[in-house]
Amino acid sequence: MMYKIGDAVLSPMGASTEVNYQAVKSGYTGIQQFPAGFRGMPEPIMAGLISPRDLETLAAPYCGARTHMMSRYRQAMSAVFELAISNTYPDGYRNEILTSRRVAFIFCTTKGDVDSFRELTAQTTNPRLYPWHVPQRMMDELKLPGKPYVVMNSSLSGVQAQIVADRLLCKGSPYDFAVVIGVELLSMFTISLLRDAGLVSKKFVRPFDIEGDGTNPGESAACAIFISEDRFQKDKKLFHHTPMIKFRKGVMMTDPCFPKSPNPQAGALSRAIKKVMEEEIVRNLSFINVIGVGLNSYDNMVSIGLEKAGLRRVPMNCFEGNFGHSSGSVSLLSSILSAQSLVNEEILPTLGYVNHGVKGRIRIQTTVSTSHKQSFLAISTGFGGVNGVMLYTKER
Amino acid sequence: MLIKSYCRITNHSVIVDGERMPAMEKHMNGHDVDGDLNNVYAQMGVDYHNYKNLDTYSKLGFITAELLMEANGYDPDTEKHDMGVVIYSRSGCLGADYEFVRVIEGLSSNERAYERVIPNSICSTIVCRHKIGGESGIFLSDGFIYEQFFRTCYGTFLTDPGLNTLLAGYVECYGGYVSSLMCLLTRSPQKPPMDYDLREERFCIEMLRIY
Repeated sequence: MMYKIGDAVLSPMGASTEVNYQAVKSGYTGIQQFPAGFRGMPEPIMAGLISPRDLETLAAPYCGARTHMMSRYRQAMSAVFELAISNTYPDGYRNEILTSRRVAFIFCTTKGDVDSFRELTAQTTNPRLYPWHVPQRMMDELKLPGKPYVVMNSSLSGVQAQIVADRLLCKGSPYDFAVVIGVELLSMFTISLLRDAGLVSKKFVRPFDIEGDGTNPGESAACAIFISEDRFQKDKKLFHHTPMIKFRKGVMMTDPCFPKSPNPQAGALSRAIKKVMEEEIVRNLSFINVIGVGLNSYDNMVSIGLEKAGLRRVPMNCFEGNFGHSSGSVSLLSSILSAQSLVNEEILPTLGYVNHGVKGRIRIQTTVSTSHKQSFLAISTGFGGVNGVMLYTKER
Repeated sequence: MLIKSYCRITNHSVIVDGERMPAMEKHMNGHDVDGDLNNVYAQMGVDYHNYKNLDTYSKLGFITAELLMEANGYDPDTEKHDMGVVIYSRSGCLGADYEFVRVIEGLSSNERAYERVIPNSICSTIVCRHKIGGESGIFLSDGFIYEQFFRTCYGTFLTDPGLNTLLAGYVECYGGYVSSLMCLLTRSPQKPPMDYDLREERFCIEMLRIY
């Protein structure tokens, strides 16, 4: 188990957790229509893109005079990490995270630095193409000791990275802190991949809606900083009874199926929910946050899984309509905003959902409401039959 | 955490639990990676419907896992909810990414190229073949870092009481270089109790011996 002590979110809607939280609460979206030719795309596309100029401006204080020479991926990584560090509580940990050897750095992405993929050859020697290279460079330049853990697992990367962080902070391990960073940017490569996989819709994304026919690609970066339970207990007096978000359990299960066809019976997802719910009772769940791949078949599977697990009365939300689908970072971003809503005792709405379009009987949240309950579930599903479920609780 | 069994494949060798496999090794000539792996696959006498659509990286992972699972008597048709798959790699699916770039640029036509570009496709192939229902995931790092491998796998056993076996290892196949090591990892006995550092040290020494 571990506790969240800092976070940051960077998206087309803003550059902090609070700004993004308020945007979701107000029902804003970062998704827009871009014309054909924009960033070399052959067709018009609806997407949530971060302006490269904004990104450079945001990264400049952290990357210095060479900011303009760095890739967007590197800029986003530095910016979101530094934003999270400056948003870490208590302040005394900031310096320790930047200097201690007892910090694990976990990066989640789908493809790494996608802008460099045009340099790919059959036998590349350009190290920038390796997804571990940019995180390693960032750590070297900031003089952060150690090697990065780079997690790649479809839309589940963010969930898996948090589960890995929890494991790295287990009793006796060499780490006290874990920094989880997720960055996902779009290029011709990733958009072509999403399009060929049948995920991209020409219309605005409608999660769990009868008119849902895919998603809109999105760009985002997110960072969460965790402290181990052992260290938290030692330093407890530093926290002055502030409400803390605790990661209680995370489980991943796989359905032995084919890449694009989820199990309609939600076998693995049901098993994962059941395992996580051994730690909590349904009555204590404030809401369930869900991230999928934007396809109706996946939304269906989630709805059936939730109904089977006896969670149909628990409000469910999904932020795909606000940010689009940024597969490597989306589940980390969603967990951060969900944790914030647990602290604020609110349930955030699902943008784009109007008419129920899935088989399972579930309760989809469409307006902001108040909840004083203590826990939430974060669910993520992805290609390859992977399913991840996490349980977070607010502790005073 | 114990290494119950392992399979190691390089450009010129195929080894299962320390035993060389001449019948397979004779196909590993080191010049044409895809051809070599196809010949080993044919020698194994396995019929997996999707094998022909795999990239060389996934083929290497598939063959390594297949040899290991077969050597340990696992039935591919039995569902294994208590088993997970964790793969480390340096390049991951960069070879498939290159093929996909060629498709985007119109230099090649393969409508299914995108399937192998999905980073966890190697895991989904192994999971499908062996009906593995536990956790699956990919980690990329600059080479095979034993400490990282230990910490992630040990943590998995620690936090998932339902997991009994991990099919885990390193698969690297890009630019003509072939290197894979997959292990069946199981829980170590609780007694005598051992601290984290000592467990890690012993595990890394064992990895040095076999890799």
